[in-house]
Amino acid sequence: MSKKKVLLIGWDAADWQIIWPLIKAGKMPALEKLIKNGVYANMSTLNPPYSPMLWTSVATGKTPDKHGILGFIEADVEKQQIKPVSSLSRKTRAIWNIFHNQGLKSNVVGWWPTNPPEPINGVMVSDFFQKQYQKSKGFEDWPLPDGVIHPESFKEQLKECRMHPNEMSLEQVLAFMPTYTPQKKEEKNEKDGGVFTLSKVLAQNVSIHAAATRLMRTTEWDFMAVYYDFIDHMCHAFMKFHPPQLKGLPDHIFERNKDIVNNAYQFQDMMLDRMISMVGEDTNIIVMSDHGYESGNKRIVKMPKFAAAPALEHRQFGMFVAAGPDIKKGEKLFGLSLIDIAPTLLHMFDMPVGKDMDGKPILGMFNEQKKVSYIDSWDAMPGDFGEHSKLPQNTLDDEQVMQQLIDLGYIDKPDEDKKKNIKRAKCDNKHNLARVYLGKSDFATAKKLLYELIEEQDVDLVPYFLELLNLTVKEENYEEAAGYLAKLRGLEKTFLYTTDIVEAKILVGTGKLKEARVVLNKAIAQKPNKSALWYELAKLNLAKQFYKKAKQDLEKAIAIENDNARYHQLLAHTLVRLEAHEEAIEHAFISIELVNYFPEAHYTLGEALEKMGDLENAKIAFETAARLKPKQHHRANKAIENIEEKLTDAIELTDKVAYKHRENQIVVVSGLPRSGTSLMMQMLHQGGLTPLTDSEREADVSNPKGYLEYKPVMSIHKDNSWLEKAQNKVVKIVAPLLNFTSPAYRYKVIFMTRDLTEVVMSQQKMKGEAKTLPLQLVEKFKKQLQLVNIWKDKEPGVELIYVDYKELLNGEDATLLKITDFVGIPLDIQKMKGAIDTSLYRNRVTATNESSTES
Amino acid sequence: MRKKHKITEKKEILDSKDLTDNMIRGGYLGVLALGDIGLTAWRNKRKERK
Repeated sequence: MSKKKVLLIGWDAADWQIIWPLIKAGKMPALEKLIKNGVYANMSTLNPPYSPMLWTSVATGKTPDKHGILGFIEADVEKQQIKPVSSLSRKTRAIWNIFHNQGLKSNVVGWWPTNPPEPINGVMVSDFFQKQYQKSKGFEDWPLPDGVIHPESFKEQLKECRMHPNEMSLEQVLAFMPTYTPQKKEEKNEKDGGVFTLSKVLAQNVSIHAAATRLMRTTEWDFMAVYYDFIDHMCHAFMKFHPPQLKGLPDHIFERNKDIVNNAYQFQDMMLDRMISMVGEDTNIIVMSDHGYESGNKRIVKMPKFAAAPALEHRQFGMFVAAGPDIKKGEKLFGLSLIDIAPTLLHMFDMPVGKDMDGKPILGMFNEQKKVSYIDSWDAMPGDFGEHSKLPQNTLDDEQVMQQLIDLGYIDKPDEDKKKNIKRAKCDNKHNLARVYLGKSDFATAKKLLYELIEEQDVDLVPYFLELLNLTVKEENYEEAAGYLAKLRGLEKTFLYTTDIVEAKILVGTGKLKEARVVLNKAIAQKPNKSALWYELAKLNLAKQFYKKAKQDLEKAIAIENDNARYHQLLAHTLVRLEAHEEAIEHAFISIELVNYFPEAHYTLGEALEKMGDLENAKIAFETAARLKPKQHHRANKAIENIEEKLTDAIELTDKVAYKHRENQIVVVSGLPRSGTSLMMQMLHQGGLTPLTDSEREADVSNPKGYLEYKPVMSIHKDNSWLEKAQNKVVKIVAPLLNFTSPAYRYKVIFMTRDLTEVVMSQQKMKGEAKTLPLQLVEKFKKQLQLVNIWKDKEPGVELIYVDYKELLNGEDATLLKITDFVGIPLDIQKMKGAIDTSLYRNRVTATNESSTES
Repeated sequence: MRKKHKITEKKEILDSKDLTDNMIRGGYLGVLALGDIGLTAWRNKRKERK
């Protein structure tokens, strides 16, 4: 990865659920091109999913407790007012500070929150650039205040890149809502039908895009970061009109607005197309969102009234796409988090990752695998990092940014009482910090903050008690949880919050299963489309071992919400109990695909694979579960021990036979390499069976009588269609490949066994390697034999006998009769005996250096 | 090498008379998606029409 350029594009709230259908319809060609030429993934968000916190985590690689941006607003104690969060609130260096120190040029446009802009090497256009209207009426009368752009010298040329909402023509707006006609009677009373909101959001994003393209055209840069809030703001305003039509929404309003969200995505794609056209082949492009957006049943028709309530519609998974000279092509990646972006960018530019960063480089996306280098912390490094040397004068109008946040519903309208506002802002941010710790499973710190919050006066305590309720249920501290539930119901006479699920959890936790069932059934009768209720009911049924009912409940939950990893994991768990192992594997995989960091899903996958006899992969799954679990995963560790025992214990090899001829049977000679398979092939050939061979591998010093092999066997894992030709013949398939035979045929497998030490020594000699015994290889072969034994038992079309190599060499009639009886065809035993040449049995442990027919 | 954008390639968009083009692609939105060049071209075109 030589020094190349990186373009990072942020699409707030972009969601695969909207994107995939549009791509399928050919309506997002620019993004489609990147996906085809690069990698894509789900992007997991952080809790709470508030944009200023999230985009700062993207830029720093750290969680909000470390970077210090804790919400949309903060208290300015000196001025006794509240204000939007700013770059001054950030406690740690962002990626552009590090790049500045390392001599790279960065352009940062619209990133949240970057006001006041930092004096970096490059250009920074802050997130206030497009929001400062200063009560202007239009573009002609629209000054751009100082302190929005660094360096100020760019102010004049970027000023004209802004688009004022009043400049927007009705036709441009109508492109998003083509059937809107203000003249219609039924629409006359509906204010402006969303036209102003749309034109404002569109104008602001056109401004960001124009500034970004201007800088791309006119400046030299190594790193460019551009942030658009277009999709997020359009979703907040218009997702309620997106299909399927929500109950209660009048038809004419639905018809008018139903395409707005899709059209917004298409416009965003058009802007991406322009960006792609402006960069060369030396640029790696990343397009990503910070979270997704609910577009189905979980849309909230009536938004509850509390700070940042609109974020309730944010989905856990956003999107990630990367393409460019350093990026792999056509792969899906798993397990990405917002905090991984900054470490990934550092790695791309050959810079060390800070050990104090919470994220890790996304190594799976790169063509070239390079070792990651680390330093303790970039924050501890002395030098010029392009930071503010003194606090800049804030000449800007925070009021307008505040108004925008109020319009979007992210913050409540400030109270007349300034002290009250400050207190509320402080409490909100402390609550957000508690949620950050909750997300990091640091329950003790989260609890400490929440305990402080419930002691506050003159603020709404309901959210804090709700948080404590959920936290104590997670801790399985049901007694304390029950206390909070009672407290909450006392605080609110007309209780607005849904507590059915948590109440049921408390009842289950305290052994009151019947009462829990009553609560859940009542809730389901009222809200049958709430997937979480079905999930809880399934857990209840599982606790009672009603597996079929649990399966039905989970299928209902998944029908409502098909991308919830927990639902798929629990369904997989249930299916294992119902012995539907293949289906269980499928759901376990879906779960892992959605959330890679999910130890329970890996454990369930391990269970299902073990039941299917795939011990090797089961072990990997259990090992992954054990590794991911923050504390010791006792069950996974025990499961690994069990598998290791199964694989390494003394193997009891038993025949599985029906001594009769099967129509079109395939006789297979198998075994470990150098266990006498060629001898067996020759004997069967002499006895009268036709071998399937192409004679490609000629006789040699190791096997002077020839191998009787068939070359396509070696690629049976890719293509086993040739097995048709093996019917009524004998073919040699070495042990590790048996698993790839088709279940369409009946097999009579003659499996050669030989002292494993002799097998390994013979192989070593054939390869011309040292005569010492590699014990690891012996263990590996033991496992192989165990796997064959399990495969034989599992496959209904397989019969198998074990034939000892030494016994075969002795040519005893009993051994040969066993073989002919098994094959079910009369074979010439005398001719079979004639194929034996005991002089070739040279690789006994004490053997001298000669050739043999042992392969 | 950075590709040089040619506004002339998008001339058909700038000349589009059908401002109420219901298609999201093209029309005056297509111009805005071109960024600073598109925005300037659109402003100039509008001045001409006035």
